[in-house]
Formats: sequence, structure tokens, C-alpha cells
Amino acid sequence: MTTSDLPPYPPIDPTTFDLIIIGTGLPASLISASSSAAGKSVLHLDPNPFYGSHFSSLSIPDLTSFLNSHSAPHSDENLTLTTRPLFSDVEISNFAPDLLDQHLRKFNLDLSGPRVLFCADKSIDLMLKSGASQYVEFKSVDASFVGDGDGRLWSVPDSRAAIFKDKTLGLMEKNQLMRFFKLVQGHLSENENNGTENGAKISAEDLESPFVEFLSKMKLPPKIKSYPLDLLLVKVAFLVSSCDIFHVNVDYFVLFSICRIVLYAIAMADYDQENTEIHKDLLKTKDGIDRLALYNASIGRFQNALGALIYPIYGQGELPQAFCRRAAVKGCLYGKNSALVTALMRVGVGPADASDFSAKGRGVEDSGSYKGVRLASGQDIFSQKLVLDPSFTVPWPLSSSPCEQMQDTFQVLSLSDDKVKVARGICITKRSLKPDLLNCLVVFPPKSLFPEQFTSIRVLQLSSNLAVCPSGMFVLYFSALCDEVNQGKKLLHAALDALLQLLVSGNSENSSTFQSEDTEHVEPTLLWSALYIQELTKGGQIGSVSSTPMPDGSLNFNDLLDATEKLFQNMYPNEEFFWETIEPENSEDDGGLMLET
Amino acid sequence: MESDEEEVREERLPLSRRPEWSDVTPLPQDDGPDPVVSIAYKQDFRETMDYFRAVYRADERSSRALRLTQEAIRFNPGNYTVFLDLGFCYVWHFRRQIIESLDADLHEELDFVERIAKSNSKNYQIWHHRRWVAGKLGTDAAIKELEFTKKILSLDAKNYHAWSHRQWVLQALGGWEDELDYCRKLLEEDIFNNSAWNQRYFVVTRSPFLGGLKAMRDSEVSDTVEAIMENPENESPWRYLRGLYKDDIQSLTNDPKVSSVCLKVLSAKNNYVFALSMLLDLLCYGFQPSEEFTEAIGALRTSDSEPLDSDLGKAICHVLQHIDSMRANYWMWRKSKLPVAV
Repeated sequence: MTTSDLPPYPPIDPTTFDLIIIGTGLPASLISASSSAAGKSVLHLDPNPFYGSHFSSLSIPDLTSFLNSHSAPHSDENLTLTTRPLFSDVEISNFAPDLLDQHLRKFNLDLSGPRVLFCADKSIDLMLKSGASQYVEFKSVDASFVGDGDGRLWSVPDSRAAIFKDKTLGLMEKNQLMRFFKLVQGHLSENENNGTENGAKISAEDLESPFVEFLSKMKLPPKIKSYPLDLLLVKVAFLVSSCDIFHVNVDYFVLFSICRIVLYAIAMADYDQENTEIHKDLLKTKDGIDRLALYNASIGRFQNALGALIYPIYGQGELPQAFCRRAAVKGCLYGKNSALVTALMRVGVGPADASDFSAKGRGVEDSGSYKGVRLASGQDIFSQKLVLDPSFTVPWPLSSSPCEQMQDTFQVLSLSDDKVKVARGICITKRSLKPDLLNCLVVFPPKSLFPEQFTSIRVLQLSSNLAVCPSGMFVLYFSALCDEVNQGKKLLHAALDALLQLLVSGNSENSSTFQSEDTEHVEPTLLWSALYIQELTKGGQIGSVSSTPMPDGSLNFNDLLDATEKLFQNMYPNEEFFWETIEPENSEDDGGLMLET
Repeated sequence: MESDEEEVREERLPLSRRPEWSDVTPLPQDDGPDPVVSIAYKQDFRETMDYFRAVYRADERSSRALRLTQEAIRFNPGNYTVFLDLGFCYVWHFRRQIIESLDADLHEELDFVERIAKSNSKNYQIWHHRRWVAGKLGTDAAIKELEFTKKILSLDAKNYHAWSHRQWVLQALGGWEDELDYCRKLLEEDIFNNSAWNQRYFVVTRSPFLGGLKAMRDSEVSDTVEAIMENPENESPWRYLRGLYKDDIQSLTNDPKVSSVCLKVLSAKNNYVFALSMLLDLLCYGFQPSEEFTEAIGALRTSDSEPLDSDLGKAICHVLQHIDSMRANYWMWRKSKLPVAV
């Protein structure tokens, strides 16, 4: 459905705002809510018939259409604002059309999965502070695992108590672990209390060093081959025979190397931490400790959350919508199906002589600076500032003549510095990766699936209890960072193979259906898949125009939140990002503490 | 019984650290097999509810339990799903059970409710509780209750809970004597206060001291007509007027005061929508209009080109279609339903 098929919308009134935002992704929605709460008049538009943009959750047909339309260069002569495709190499396969066709709309598939929230995340506190938490409900992610590429899943401990209950840990190993956690704990409480109690503190030098080196120092070695191989096999055999390997939580994880679990499934490192040549990819100790702290603080924070992670019912797309709703409560005006044609620039005002144009960019504020937008409806709307969806690049105005350098800066501004991309995949399956589990996280550390796998692949399985798919089905999201498309595709296919292997082997009683020669009665495990490469943009700002970032490759929203807050501070240096704690939407009589007068 | 000293929020000691509660094991909530993770419950609220569940389960009807219910009530969950999720209604229910068991001072309880009601005057649980306490006190409470609702209404003239409670008090506990006066006073302050008109009707029809609607009708009609003349655009007295003749359409039609006020308002040519509507209804009930009415309607015509409909009812509908254009379709329909002119 194109904009022209829809009935004409009434013209927007008023026609001047403090801020216009195009695109309703999460960063844009945060800016909208915060600006509106700060008293700015905001117009928030989205060219799509839904809210959420690249952060939304969509049905199969809508997701397919979005990926396809955003992977081809947009050719529309009416559009003088350039858009660039942010997806590429989209591969969508439907393996069970008979089954799926009747259920196509019963899915809420994340465009930017896998994504979860840690219970102690900044995003949770932000939701509570802003009042957006009233509109979203969460359920627990039941468990986390590390995959080893051989079809086994190793439990990630969800509590320190669980580690120490473990019977297979030797005394020495337990002591090592205890010392390590004591040190981490001491370091963290140090920072909170600003006092020295036991002197248990991590040195500044250590903090700057790579986390993997620090872990090694703590006698938590990364390499599994540091264990004698025969001893390892004996231990594994003992475990397999002595317990139900898929139902016991933590009894065997230590054999798979605590260090790798900490690095990739708790600290969520993306790059191979043992590849010491590429230093920039190494996680620093201070960051590793912070992530450990986040994980630790998340466990047990909420009743009914089994581990550290939670996920919003109906999909990630609920989050931008919740913030949009807060913005609307504070007066922001909303519009869907509002396509942008061009940004309007101030023309003819400023230095008459082009040579006056100073390198300091004085010209940006004068001639050629932003004044408003023209919508596809034909209406011109004006504002002080503009925030754009990452798919737009703003061309310099046609009539004034800036120096080349400014033009380049503008276009380059929004692209990621190091050309890293995110390879993403989505699968719909009929079985769980683990028979009794609904929602879980699986991490395939670097090199676990194939030798050239330089980045971690993270997989999130979600079930119908989150209202993201029909009952009896599961949705798998997986992603990995990559430098270029082929590498990305290779990562995705390796993940897909490993996952299928898990699905089949984990349900060995039913494996005959998958391997069966009799194609008529084969019930496919994998019903549908989508693989695609997504560009990363960091977002940025020039003058009064800002660009929001694309969803990043992280598992949670922390980095995106930080980037958004920075954008907001640049736009409104005198305002605080969500300064007020907002009472529930209900009447003032029902909200808050019942005071006795 | 209840301590009047309020604990400052910041200094509130968690229940787990209070020695008087050390013998109680708090009970966490059982959310069933596939629970939602709630991120919004404050830790101290959750803790209070955990301890409440414990005393409730043990049916401990003690003074510390009573104080605990007060603490829980002070949290006042604003979000209704929170209210339902945590079974908050049990807090009020158990408080009542404790009050009965301990034979607690009910007047103090009324004071407690009054203290929290002022800033939460639309909370159903509070009003329900108040009604229960007042009911237990009986007729002795009537004066206090009328005073209390009067206070609430002085802050919010249309609070449905307050009016509803007041009406219950009158019927269950008495106190009718000054009610008509109260309504009159409210209307003196604001003639547009529809709630006061509503209450006036309540009193006039039900008070055991006034003799019933028919007995009161004449004086009430006079007062109402006076109010109409002051502000003909005020819908309330028009409605009240009809109410006074409920189940007695003939008397409405025959009362010269009614038709005369319509004529007066029409002749003034200002704010006459309700007058027209009333006149239309009178015609439908069989009122025979004099020439004055026809002239008055004729004078209201907006365009002189159109001839005045010989049927007065149709003419009135025509005018109404124009001046009450939001309901043009309704007036068109009324026109189609007019009884055939004899």
C-alpha cells in the first residue's frame, strides 16, 4: 500500500514546531519523549504505516516487505532527500507454506533481533523513570547457554550459589573462582563506597588491560586445551552417564572453561578475545567488570525473572511505541504514513560572498541551514531542529554553494566509522532448542563453529508465551558482527546449521521425521528463515539536523541509549535527558503515595 | 489505636529489620506457571505485601496487623493492574475483619478515612470502607457523614462518590431535615451545578419530611422558572422542570407557568433552544398554542424568504435544525414524527 492509496490526511496544524522527528525507531522515540517532557513542541512522523521503524516487530509479510524495500536503492523522482539502503543480501525462505500461510499475521518478528534487556539495564530504569513501563510487560528468559559447535549446550550459571553447589568442581577450582568473585565484588563496592575496607581492589593498570589477560591472571584460563585431554574426556563421560545433561543447570559448565563463559556469555564480548593482534577488539578489564556487575545485579532483581534477562511481550517493537506514547501524553503530535520529500534549507541568507565562508563552519548557521521539511502530502512544516531516520542522508541545498568539504562531512557523518556491519538471521521452528525450555539465549563464541569465526554469534529463542508467534512454534534470532557481506553470510549459515543440528539432536525421538526419505510425511523443523546484512550507523549531528543510529549489534540497548542521550544533550544542552520521574497515567487521585492530611 | 505520627518516607525501616516483626516469615506472591516479570513494584511495597500475605494467611487479627494494613494502604497502587495483581483488595477486607475482632474505635476509623480521602477522593475502596464503618455506627454517624461529604464536595462539586455516599447516608441513616436547604445554597453559589439539581430532585421526591413530589411541585416549579428566566441556556432547570412532572404529562401540558416561561424566553430571542424543545414536546403532548406562540416563532425565522410553516410543530423543528445544527438530523426526525395537525 502506497501513501497515495490512503485517504488524504487533514493538514498538520500548527505548521511550526521546536522539533520535527522523522522515523519512530527507539532513539527517535526517546528523543521525542524527552523533548516533549522538557516542554518542546514536537512533530513526530513516520513514513511507514506502523511505528518503530528499524526497531519494530512485524508480521511475516510486513517484515519481508520492509527488508526488501530497504535493501534496494529508493528511486523516486519526487524525493529530493536521498535515502540509502541499510539492508542487503536479503534471503527469505518459506519451507512450509501450507502451514505458515494461515498464520502469517500472527507473528511479531523483531527487525533488529536478537535483543533482550538485562534486569538491571539502564533501559529498565529509563522506562520506570519516564513512565513508559506502564505500557510494556515482560517475561523471563529462562536460561543462557554457550554452544560448542559439537551439538552441546553448556549452562551459564544464573547465580553464584549455583556455581558453588556444583559437585564436579575441585577445591582448587572453587578457590580460584571464589578469589575472583571476591576481587570483583570488592572492586565494585569500592567504587560505590569510595572507601578502602579490605584493600581488595583491582589496580588501575589491570583495569586498562584486556579482560582476558586479567581472567588469566586470576587462573581462569581461556583455552580448553589447558586441561589434559584424557582427563577432560573422563569428566565428560562421567557427567553424561550420571545426570540428565539437558536438565541440570550448572554441574558441568566449568569443564568448558569458565573464562569463555564469562567472556562471551556474561560479558557478551563480540570479538575473539584471544586474537591479541587486533587490540581494538579486546574488551578491557574495566568494561568486563562492569558487564559482570550488570549481569550480577540483574539476577534476582525482579521476582519471576529466572535469570538476568527479560524480553517484552509482543516484541521489541513495544519499546519505541511506549516512549512515543509518553511523548504524546506530553503533547507531541504524531503521524504515520507521512512520507518525507525533502528538507527545506534557508536560502540566500548569510554571506553574500562565498569566500566569506569560514572553515569554522559559520556558514552552516547562516546560508543553507535547515528551516523545515516538505512532506509527500505537499505540506511544508517548519522547525528549529530536525531529527532524521538513519536511512536519510541530507543533501546540501541545490541553490547555495557550500564547499565540498561540508557536503562530504554531512553525508559521511551518519555512517559508522569502521564499516562494521551486523549479520542477522531469523528462523521460525516447530521445536525448542531445549525440550523443556521456552525462551533462552545461546552464545557461540568465536571459533566455536569454524576456525575463521572471528565474532561471537548470539542466538535468542522465543516462544509463543511472548505473543511473538503462534502456539507450538518458536522464533530464533541470531546475529554477529562482520566486516563484509560474505563473512557475514558465512557466519549466518554456520549458525543456522548448528541450530538445526541442535533442534534435531535435542529431539532425537522425533528425528526420524527430519531425516526421513518419505518426503510426503516430513514435518520440517525449520519453517521459515530470513537472513540479511544490516549496515551500522552511529548517528550524528550537523547544525540543527541530527541523525539517529541504526540498531547495533549488542544484545541490550545500553550503547544505543548512551548514543541517544549524547545526541539529545547536543541538541538541548540545557535540558536533562528524562529528568522528571513521571507518575502513572491515572488520575492524580489514584497515583502515588496516599498521603494523610 | 492508630498512631498519628507519620513515618517520614525516607526513614522508613524495612519490615525485615523491625524487631516486632521478627517472628513472621513473609510470603511471596505465587504468580503461577508462566508469570509476567513486573518491573514496577517498589521493593518496600512488595515487602509490605509479603508480610501482609503472611498475617492474612495466618488470620492474625492483631493491632500490629491493623497497623500493617494502614502501611499497605498508604502505598496506594495507582496502576489498576498492580492493584489486581497483588490482591490489594484483600488489604481492605482484612482491615475490616481486624476492626471487628478487636472492636476497634470506629470514630477513629472514620477519621483515618477522612485523612486519606481528601487526596484520594475518587478511590472506590476508600468510599466502600467508609460506608461500612458508617453503617456499623448507625444513625449516630449521620451528621458526621453529611459534614464529611460536604467537605469533599466543597473541593469537588461533582464527585460522584461523595454524592452517592451522601444519598446512601440520607436513606440509611437519616438527616433529611436540612438537605433541601443545602441544595438551595449550592445552587445559589452556582446555578449551573447539575449535581445540586440532581440532589434537589432526590430530596424533593424522597424526603419523608416534605410530603412528596406532588405536594412540593408548585413551589418547586416557581423556583425553577425563576432559575430559567435568569439563565435560559442552563439545561439543568429545564430538565428539573420535566422531572417535576414525571408520570404526569397532562399536568405539565396544562400548567400555564410552563408554557408561559417558554413564551417569555422565546420572546426575548436569546438562548431559546431549550425553550423551543420544551414547546415542541408540549405540542406533541397536546398543548394548544395561542397566537402569541405563532408570532414568537415567526419572529425567530432566520431567513425571511421561507414561509412559516402553518404547522407550528414543523416550524419549530425547522428553526431547531438551524440553531441546533449539531442535532439537525434529530430535529428532522422529530419533524417526521409529529402528530398530524388537527
